[in-house]
Amino acid sequence: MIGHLNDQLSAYLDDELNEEEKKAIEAHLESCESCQALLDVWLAMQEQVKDIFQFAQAPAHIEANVMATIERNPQLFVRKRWFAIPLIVILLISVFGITTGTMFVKFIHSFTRLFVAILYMATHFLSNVPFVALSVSVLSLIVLTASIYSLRKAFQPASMERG
Amino acid sequence: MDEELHRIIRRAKRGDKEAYAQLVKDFKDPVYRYALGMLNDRMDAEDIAQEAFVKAYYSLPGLESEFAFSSWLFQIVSNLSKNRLKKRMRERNYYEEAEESTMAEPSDPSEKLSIEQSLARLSPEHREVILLHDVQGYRYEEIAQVTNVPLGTVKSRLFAARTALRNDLRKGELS
Repeated sequence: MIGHLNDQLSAYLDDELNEEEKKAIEAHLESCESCQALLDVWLAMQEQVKDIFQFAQAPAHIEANVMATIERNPQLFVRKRWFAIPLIVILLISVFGITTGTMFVKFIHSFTRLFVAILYMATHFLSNVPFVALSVSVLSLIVLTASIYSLRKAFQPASMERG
Repeated sequence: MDEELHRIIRRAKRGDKEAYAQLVKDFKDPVYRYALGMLNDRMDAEDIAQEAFVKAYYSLPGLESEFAFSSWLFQIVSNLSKNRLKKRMRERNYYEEAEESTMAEPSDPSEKLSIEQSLARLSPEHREVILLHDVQGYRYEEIAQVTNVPLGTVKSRLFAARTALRNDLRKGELS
């Protein structure tokens, strides 16, 4: 019976087995009449199915109808362009660049405004409190004098040092 | 012959209508036969064959390799046929609900069925593999591509389809 062979017998009929599997089926068929009979039935069925459609022909106007439909809608045929993917990548990078560029400009602008505001507040505070203004002026003069002195020392010619 | 066919497919892929007309001419009979086997109705088969060729033309630029054209085309026909069968089923259910009591009498179980009738009574999946193998002459690997199932499933499905077909044919003989 077919139960012990399952789809192997069907695949044997279709010549879809390897040599080893084929030999195993052939050996079985020699001793199993029911499988041999089943194979014959399947073979006959296969021929009958083939016969049903053998003379079926498509109506002649199919070709004309298909081509007429295609002619009516040429815009639906979109050729696959090899450069489509790189183009999309460049487009995405550009959009990203423009977006982040705008953000960067906005950031610089905000930062400048903040810096100006802080500078204004600092000068305002200094001019309103005389003690702080005086202290800052004195401190500035000391730092300036010290800087000039150290610069003069640094640039003094070596010959003068030796003399 | 194959090289000539591949050249025509390449030309059609670039939008050459003359080349595509040649492809329709070459494939219309096998496509129609397959649709007829799936739908068991000449008008529907003609409709599906036309629809498949139009759809294939517009999808052609997306076809990876011209070597796969045939299985790719049959995949389109297969999907369209199955959709048509589903539509039929929905319509049938609708009318059956509408005319509850006026159902047609079931066919006489003792009546001997022809191979054509038995084939039409198989499930679409079983009918599909039988048609692709026995009528179109496809190998298991090509059937797997068309039906989008593993090779092992094609093998077991063909066995199941043959068993179902044989059992259906035997019903009439035994009763």
